[in-house]
Amino acid sequence: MKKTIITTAVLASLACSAAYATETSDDIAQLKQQVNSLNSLIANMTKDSIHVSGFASGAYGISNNDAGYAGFDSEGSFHEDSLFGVQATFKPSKKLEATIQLVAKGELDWAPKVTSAYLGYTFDNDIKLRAGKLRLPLFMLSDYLDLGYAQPWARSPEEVYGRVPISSFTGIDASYEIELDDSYINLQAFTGNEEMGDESAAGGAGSVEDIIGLVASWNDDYWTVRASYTIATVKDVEFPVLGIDAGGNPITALPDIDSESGSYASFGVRYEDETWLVMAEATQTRVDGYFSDSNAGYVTLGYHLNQVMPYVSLARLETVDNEERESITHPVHGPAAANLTYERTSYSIGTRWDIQPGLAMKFDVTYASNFGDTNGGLAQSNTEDSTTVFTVKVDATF
Amino acid sequence: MKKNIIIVLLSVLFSLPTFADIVVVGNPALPDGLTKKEAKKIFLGKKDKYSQGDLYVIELSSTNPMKAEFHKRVTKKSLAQLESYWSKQLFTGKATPPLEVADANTLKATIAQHSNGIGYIDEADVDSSVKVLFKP
Repeated sequence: MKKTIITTAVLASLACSAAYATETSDDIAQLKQQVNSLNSLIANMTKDSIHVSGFASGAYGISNNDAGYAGFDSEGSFHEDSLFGVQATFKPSKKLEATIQLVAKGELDWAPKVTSAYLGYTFDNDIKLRAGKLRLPLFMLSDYLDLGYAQPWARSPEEVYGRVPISSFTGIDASYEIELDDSYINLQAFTGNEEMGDESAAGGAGSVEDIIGLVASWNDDYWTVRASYTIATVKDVEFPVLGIDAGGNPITALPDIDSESGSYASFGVRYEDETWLVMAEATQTRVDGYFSDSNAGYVTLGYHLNQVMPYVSLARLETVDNEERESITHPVHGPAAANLTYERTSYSIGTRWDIQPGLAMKFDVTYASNFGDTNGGLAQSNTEDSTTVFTVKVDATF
Repeated sequence: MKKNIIIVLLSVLFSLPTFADIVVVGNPALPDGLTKKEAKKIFLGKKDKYSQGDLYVIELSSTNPMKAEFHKRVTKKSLAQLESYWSKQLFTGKATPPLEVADANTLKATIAQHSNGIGYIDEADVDSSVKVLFKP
């Protein structure tokens, strides 16, 4: 009797596990089939004719005083370096593409601005032509200046990039990539013009016309060497009216500008391997008349320690045509023009922490000084002779 | 005893998964003769002499550990450097990053749908649906 019970129990459990086994292999077969159909579904979904992507930065910065470096003061701000960008690219064919990019910046009250909107066509000889609103590639980082994730620092060097009045232009460009044995040469030529709302010095509004520029760069696995030269004409710049003089004429911050020609030159080098990052750029801005002619540049050194990259950076900015403004003796224009004479050196130490692909956090301390007897090119009212800004930033791309 | 523990710990450390057998695979219709230099160009979305740029490149997603190992060997970029590279290409309008799939099976199924499909998988996952083009 006992035996029977045991046998029954054993048999029952065997039958049970057998049934379980059949059920499991049925399940697996069914799952396999589902996976296969899902696989082919995914494979069929790969019509990548529309590509939507974005980038965002959230930053907090605070300064030890109100000198106004990068827009920060001693109250601290979440606005100055925070932004959100979105880009949609439509590729109806291999050769034709349409791209639009919008960026909303905290410092501009999050009002979205169109930074790119163009049609691109690649010819059989691989020359790519684009027409519409394009990024203005005056300097090495200009093409992707808003893309914090692709920059090592919490903030791109303010001495070079903080003073560019326009970042996009409307016109056309042509680009071509030459493939060498294990490196590439990229050439880009562009022309167009752009309106300035109030981005010019002292809130001036006008236009930048007859922009013509050339960019040449060479890059391999580790190196990028880039040179560019752009000419442009600044036209019809008008300044905000501050009051009316005794003769009933409006007083503006600076004399209106009819037409002045200018040029922008840049030479930059970037090296990055598994361990080191070195970036350096020298730039020159020249504008006829009383607008500042300046030389600016930076050198950055970073060291990769797995997901963390500490860096140090040195940057310098100085105007070189100071005598052109010293002759302005007008009671209002004189002091305003004096604000266009400045010099500054900044020293940064910080670290980039790559939390996961597409997400990086940055910590930065920047100390700026060597203002000479100028306001350092900072807030007009600045009387401090140095300033320190602390920044924490998160950059993402998706 | 202490020594033994250290040895055990060290052997655990050094026996972390390694992928000795990554292979670049493609649709059987693709030609032979892919070199490391061309593979690097292809997986960075550059012009290449192997196909004259006419390939359908399929990447693995970053959650798949094979991706980091493949790029360490072939493009010499860490995942963060690779992501940074592609974001720059994308937002400057130079190139769009390749399609990403989660695993070898989806990758093989996608290659089967594209006569110019190319990707990389563990050699153990190779079957008749794909052709081995290069072993880094």
